[in-house]
Amino acid sequence: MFPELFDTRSFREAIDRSADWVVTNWGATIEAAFSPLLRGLVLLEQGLLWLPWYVLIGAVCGISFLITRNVKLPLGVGILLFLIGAVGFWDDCVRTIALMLAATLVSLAIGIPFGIAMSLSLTVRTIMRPLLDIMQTMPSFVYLIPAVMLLGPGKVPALLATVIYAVAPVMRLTDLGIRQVDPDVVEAVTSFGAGDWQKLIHAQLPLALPTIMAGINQTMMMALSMVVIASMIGAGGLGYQVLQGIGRLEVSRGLLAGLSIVALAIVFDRIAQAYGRRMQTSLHMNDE
Amino acid sequence: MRIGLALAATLGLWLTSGDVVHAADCGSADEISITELNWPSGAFFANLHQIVLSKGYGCNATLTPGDTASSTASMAARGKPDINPELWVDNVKDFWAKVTAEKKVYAAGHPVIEGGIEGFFIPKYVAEAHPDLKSITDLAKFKDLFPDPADPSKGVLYTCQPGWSCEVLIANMAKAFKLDSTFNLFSPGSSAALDATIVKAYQRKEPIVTYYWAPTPLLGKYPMVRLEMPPYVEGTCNNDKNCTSPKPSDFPPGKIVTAVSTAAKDKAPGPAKYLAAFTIKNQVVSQMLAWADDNKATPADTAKQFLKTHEEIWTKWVPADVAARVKAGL
Amino acid sequence: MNNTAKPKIVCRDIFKIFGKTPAKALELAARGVSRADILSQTGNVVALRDISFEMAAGETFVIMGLSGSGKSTLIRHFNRLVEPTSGSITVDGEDIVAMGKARLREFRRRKVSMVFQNFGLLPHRTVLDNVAYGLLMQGRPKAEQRERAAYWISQVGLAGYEGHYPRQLSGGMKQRVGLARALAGEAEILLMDEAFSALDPLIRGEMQEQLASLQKELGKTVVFITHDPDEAMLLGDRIAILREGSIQQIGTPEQILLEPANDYIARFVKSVNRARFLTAGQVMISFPVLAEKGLTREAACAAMADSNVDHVFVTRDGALAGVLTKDALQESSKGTGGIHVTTSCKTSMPLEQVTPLIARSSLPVAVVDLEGRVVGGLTRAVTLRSIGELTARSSA
Repeated sequence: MFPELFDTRSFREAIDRSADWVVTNWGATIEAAFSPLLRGLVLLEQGLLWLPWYVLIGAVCGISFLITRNVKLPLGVGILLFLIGAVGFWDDCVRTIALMLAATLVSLAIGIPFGIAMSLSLTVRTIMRPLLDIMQTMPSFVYLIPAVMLLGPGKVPALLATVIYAVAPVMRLTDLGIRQVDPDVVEAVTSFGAGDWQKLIHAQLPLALPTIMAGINQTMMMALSMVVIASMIGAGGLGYQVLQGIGRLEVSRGLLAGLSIVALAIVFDRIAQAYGRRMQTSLHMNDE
Repeated sequence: MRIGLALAATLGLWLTSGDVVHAADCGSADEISITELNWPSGAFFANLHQIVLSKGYGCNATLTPGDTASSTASMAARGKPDINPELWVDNVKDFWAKVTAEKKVYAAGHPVIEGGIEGFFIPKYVAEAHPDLKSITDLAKFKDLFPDPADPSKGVLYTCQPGWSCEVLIANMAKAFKLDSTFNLFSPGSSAALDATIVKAYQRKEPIVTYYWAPTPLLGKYPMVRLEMPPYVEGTCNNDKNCTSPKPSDFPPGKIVTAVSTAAKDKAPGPAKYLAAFTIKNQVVSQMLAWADDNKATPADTAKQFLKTHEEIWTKWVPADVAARVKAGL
Repeated sequence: MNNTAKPKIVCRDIFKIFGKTPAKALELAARGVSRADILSQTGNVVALRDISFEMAAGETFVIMGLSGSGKSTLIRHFNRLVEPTSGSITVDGEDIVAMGKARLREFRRRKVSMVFQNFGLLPHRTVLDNVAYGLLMQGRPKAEQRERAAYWISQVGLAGYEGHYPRQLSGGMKQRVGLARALAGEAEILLMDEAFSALDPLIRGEMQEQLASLQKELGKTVVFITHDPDEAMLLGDRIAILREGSIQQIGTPEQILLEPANDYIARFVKSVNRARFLTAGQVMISFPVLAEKGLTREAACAAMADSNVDHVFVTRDGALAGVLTKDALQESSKGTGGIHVTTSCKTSMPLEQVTPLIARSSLPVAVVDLEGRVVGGLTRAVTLRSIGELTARSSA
């Protein structure tokens, strides 16, 4: 038995009291600050739900055809999405896609600038690294429940949790990608009088793009893997079906919903990979 | 120790009437496993059982963490754990019908005297500020008091956890009470999220209307008022997902049982008697849970606190020698 | 090269220390403590030590050294890709170490351009856009960028490749793009960091010729880094030899070849094809030159004895007529024994081209200046000794 060195109760009470204080005094303000985000999320979800299913599937197939110029990927993607609809999860699937896309966009908006800052500054990197480790390993519920207390249940805390979990890969790989850029190219650009911003735009970002794209893909996958957790705080979607399956001890429902999440993951992974390959070709970087 | 046990057994024989020779020991059971449920009352009951069975009856009583879904699945499949101390039968109707028919599991007793209470609750401060809001039928008029942040034209009614029977029931009730045009039903996705939602409202004194149930520490801690409902009507299809004509009706009386495996009953008749006698008032349970919350006590601490402070209740469940050993063990 | 003009680039007392405590290492380096000792005492690396020299406008200045000698570090001081730990660098009288960020960018855009060993091309941009990069940085209008870039692409012989991407080009072609990019901005100073080292020998030769001919037209101030002595001799007006961060010698290619300051340099340039870089004028010895008119046996004998040589060149109307040999003088009891016809070469002729002339005859070859006056001669022995001189000296 580990000796009780000090009484943690008062310590824990202090934490709880300060959390309560924040919820009581700042909750309404913070919730109001996030309400535009909620409206955006609702709009995105309703927009996607408003589209007839065949239009949405067609659009995804069309995008994948434009990327690959090949019928294999669009065909596979179309079949997978059709199957998800066929087992009765179309609306939940669309909700999950909406949340995943929104979380990915927010993650990119945060992750790429921070990744750039990490690549340029050792200080930022030293601070961000452990922070990213915490964000990826801290069980989500630890911060989710306080987030629900602050923001109420639903899409906003789900989005935040997903972003916290999914932002790390794109941040890490942006950092890595930029630091791996051929120093000769950066030096050459500098020698012609490029400023920091021009260096970034002309050389570092385009050359790091394939690595950043891999990060975006991973971020998307991790966002998808959060759908069940997100549903546990009221985000709905395919994760909700999984929870219902668990709650009712319906193995079939849980399995089908789980497989649908896997199918979605495959769809987006393959599209993102194909896009990454296409970009690499159009950047003419295969042999460099 | 062994002599002490033997003596105690003799005493037990002397104190109890009838033919139960082994009333004060654990019978032939090697191990009695108890689901330590992941909500406060369930964990409290589980720890009470664990202390009484191990200290009082000398059983090898173990706690297994779990929730309703995992423990029922495991009970049906493997006959373990032996005891689910707080099973809401209506939430797992099909499972319950099946296992009781197969005689794998039986309802040993009712841990909460009044049974579970389910309903739609509003905080006391809302009830005081809006005396007109008394019943579920008043709710539609108050939709603007509870706006849905995602759809402000409607109110939001927080419903129950995904997969629980109340989910379907509430969806049908909303139709029956004609709330579906004025309110959105919103499931917070988990008990933790629902609790957090209520705490959030309470701390900011915001209006909220939500499904909730007792016994729970939350209702012990935050005074909530249950909206009145018309009487319970038998034989509606409100429980059915495909119900076409739901009827206005209260929640069915919440049947909570101590679910025990038949195998454990056969092997350990003494403990089985205790489990049958075990029952506590809803109010007492909620009080204990609120005490635990305020003192940051573990479920085991709470169980000990109960055993120390509520002798008048629990000594009725066990023979005197068992009670003496439990007291000595505290 | 114009020696009377103000120097284009002046380096004074440059020290460069890599490490965490440069101040301490700098002090030791200034006191002359060795590189290895400074490294073991302070953990800092002395990359450059006490570098001072001047460069004239239009000069091609070669910095030669082995890898690790600090030559790539040094060249990066001239556009401040590397900052000196101490010392000053002025270009056209302006101290570039003191420049602020904005002024430095402007300086890099207008004054100096660089060619890199590994090309440093932007892989996602076409040849045209790569060549136009310096012009883009200068903020020139789009049309002008394209026009000038296209001109320089054709100047380096890549017309038709404007739309290609770097990965579609061979190494030599990539470096032509690098050269065109550096030339397009019309900077007065061209820095070339081992620009041709990554290319195979045949292409390297072509590029060297191309640079030499472009330089003849453009007259830029070129700083050229190489580890290849042949390349240094071929391209350099002057050569600085760097070893462990210190300059060992600065001089013209002849000075380096013929008067190496120390053994290290002698060993370094040992492998150089001397016949290619030494000229007849540099290695010739003096011979008596007598006019044919009124030439006597006695006069010829006296001249040979005075100069301690066996031959006398004879001129007719100021131009070379032939050569008298000691043997011929001795065989014939009277008279001069006849003038043997011999060949001549210009003072600027590389020994490489003199050797076939020497090989054809046993007579000395006369060396004549631009006006055709005989200024000296080359015997087989002298020529061969000059070519093999260093080999002999270093083995001695």
